[in-house]
Amino acid sequence: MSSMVEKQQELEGEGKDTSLNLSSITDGANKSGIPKVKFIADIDDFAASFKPVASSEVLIGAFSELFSKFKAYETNLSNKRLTYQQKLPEIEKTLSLVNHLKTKRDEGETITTQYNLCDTVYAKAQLDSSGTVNLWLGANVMLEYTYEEALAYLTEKEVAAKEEYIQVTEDLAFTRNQSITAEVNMSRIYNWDVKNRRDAKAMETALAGK
Amino acid sequence: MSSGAMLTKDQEVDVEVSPHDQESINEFGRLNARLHEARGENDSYKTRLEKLDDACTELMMGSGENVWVLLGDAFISCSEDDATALCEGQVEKVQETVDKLEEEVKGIEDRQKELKTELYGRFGSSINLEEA
Repeated sequence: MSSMVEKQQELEGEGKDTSLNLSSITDGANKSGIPKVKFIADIDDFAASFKPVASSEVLIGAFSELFSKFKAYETNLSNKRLTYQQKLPEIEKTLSLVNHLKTKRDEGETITTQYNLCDTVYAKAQLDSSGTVNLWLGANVMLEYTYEEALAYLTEKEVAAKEEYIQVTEDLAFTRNQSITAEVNMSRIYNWDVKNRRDAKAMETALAGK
Repeated sequence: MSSGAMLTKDQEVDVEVSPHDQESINEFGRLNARLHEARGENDSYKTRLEKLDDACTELMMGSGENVWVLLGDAFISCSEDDATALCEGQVEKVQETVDKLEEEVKGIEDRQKELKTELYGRFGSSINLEEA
C-alpha cells in the first residue's frame, strides 16, 4: 500500500517537473488552427527527449488529456454540422416559396393559400402580388424585400451556408484523425511499456540465475 | 482498439507503426465515422423520396381539381399540373442527393476493404477493424 502512495507521489513530482508540454505532443496546426497530434516515430527516443526522461504513465496521461480535448471538440463540430444540416433545408424551403411567388406574379395569377395562423389553426388567404416579401432575419427582425432582392439574398445565404458546411465537415474529419492518432499513440506507449517491463523482468531472472 | 480481450504473447505481432500505417488507420477510422453519417443521411432522404413519390402518384390519380401543396410553412393552392411540376422537381433533386450518397457509401466500403487487407496484413490480430 505504501509503495503505491510513493509511486503516486513520484508520478506527481514527475508530472510537475517534466519538460513535456502541449507543443511536445502536437505538431503544428491545420489552416483552421486545430492542432495536429504528433506521430511518434520511436517511443524510446520520444520518451528520452524529455527532462527527466518521461515515464509511460506521464506520456499516456498527456495523450489521454489531449484525446479527451479532441473528443470534446469533435462533439462540438458535430453539433455545428448538424445546425447547418437543419439550416440548409430551411433556406431551400424559403427559396422555393419565393420562387413560386415570383412565377405566379409573372404569370399574373393570384395565389390562394392556407397559412398557419397558430399551432392548430390554418386560415385561408388570397395573396395579391405586391412584389415584396418579408424575410425573418432572426433576432426579432423582419425586413421587406422585393422578390428579386429576396432571391439574391437567400441564394447568397445558401451558398455561404454550403461553404461553411463543407468547411466544418473537413475540420471534423481532421479532428477525428487527431483523436485516432492520440488513441493509437496511447496504445503504442502502453505496449512499449509492457514490453519494457517484460524485458526488465527477463533480465532480472537471467541475472539471478547466474 | 479500446476494448477486447488481451492477446496472448504469441498472438502479438511486433511491428513498428510507420507514419504511413498511422495515416491508413486514421483514414479507416474517419471513413467509418463518415459511413455511419452517410447511411443515416441516406435513410432520411430516402423516406423523403418515398413521400414525394407517393404524392406524385396521388396527383396522377387526382380528379383534376386544385390541390394544396406545402411550400415553406404554408399550403398553396395549385392546379394539378403545377403541383406535379413542383413535386417532380423535388423528386429529381432528392434523387440526385440519394444517388450521390449511395455512390459515396459504395466508395467508402471499397476503400475500407483495401485498408483492411493492408492493415490486417501488417498487424494481424493486434488490430481490430470490425464493428463492435
